[in-house]
Amino acid sequence: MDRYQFEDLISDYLENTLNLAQRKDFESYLKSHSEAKLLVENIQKAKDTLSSLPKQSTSPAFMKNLNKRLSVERMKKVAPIQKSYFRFTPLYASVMAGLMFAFIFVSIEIFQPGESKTALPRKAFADESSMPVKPQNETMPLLELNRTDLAESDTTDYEKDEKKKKDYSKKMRFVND
Amino acid sequence: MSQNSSTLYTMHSVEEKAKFIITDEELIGRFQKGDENAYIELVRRYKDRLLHFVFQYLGDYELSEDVVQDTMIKLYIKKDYYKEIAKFSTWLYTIAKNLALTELRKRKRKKVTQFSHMSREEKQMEFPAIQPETGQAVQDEFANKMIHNAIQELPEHFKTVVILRDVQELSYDEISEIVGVPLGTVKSRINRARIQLQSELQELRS
Repeated sequence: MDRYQFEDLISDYLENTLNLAQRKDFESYLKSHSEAKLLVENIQKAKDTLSSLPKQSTSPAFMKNLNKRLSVERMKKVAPIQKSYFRFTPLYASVMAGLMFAFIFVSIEIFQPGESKTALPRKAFADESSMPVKPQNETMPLLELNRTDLAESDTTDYEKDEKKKKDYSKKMRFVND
Repeated sequence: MSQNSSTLYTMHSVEEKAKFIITDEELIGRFQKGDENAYIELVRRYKDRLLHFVFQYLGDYELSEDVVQDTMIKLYIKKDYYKEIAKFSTWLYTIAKNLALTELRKRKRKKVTQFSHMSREEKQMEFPAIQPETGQAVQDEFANKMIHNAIQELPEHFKTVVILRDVQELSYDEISEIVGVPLGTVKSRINRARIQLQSELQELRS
């Protein structure tokens, strides 16, 4: 028996699970190697100390604390977590959404009507500045202009103008038509 | 005659008791069907055993108690995960072991961070020498602390098996199931753990 074989069999020897032949071999190795005998004795001591370690017992508050935690778990089981929208319950989420819409609506009512009635659109100024300056002696071909065109050109109703420009649907013709 | 009858009575009561002792597996079965008293009984049976096991792992009483509570809560929540192919104790020990390991790793990470902030003088460990005049209780406490420190020095896979075998006195088969390694590996780990543990103890004593 060599050192490695001896070390592999220490636990089996201490727990009495070696067969007779192995046990004889092991004990003869112990007789011839004093340091091996010391090692086995030390392991036996350590093993005994481990098994005789003082038993721990839970504190008196253990069951009380456990019950508290269990009641929380039970509550979770009884009332499963509701669906949430941005961490709001459906009720609060709908209330919040309603408030938001109300706020937006009020803001629009406060600011937009005043702006549209009094102030000229910025676009008009921008167009004016970018317009080329015409020489003064050049006469406008007024006769060529239609009266309705003049009336329409003097308006701030750009939406109509845009509609007029963009409405090609009636003029469009498809190949199969 | 009276002696005979009393013996008979005793035997009868033992038999009766045996009849009424419900196994852990029966209890968990009842708990799975909704009987919460069965759960309370299981907690009562295992709380101290698990605390003793976890305490050897962590060495901190309060933390160990928290881990045992976590184990019991997990038992409550995951009761349906238990299948009767394994022993109940094995299943519960596995839960406790995993939670203790997680806690141990968390603590190690914390310790490493704290240790790196310490000065060289602070890093010197202090082990008080045994004085001959100290009382037996103090010496016992010191011996326990020393063995505990020796356990803490073991690698995780050695620590688990040696605690389960020598402290909890579980069978090799049970340990094999809890740790999830073959029986031969368990035996070899226990053997090597014991050798290493005694050398750690020698070092600490010297």
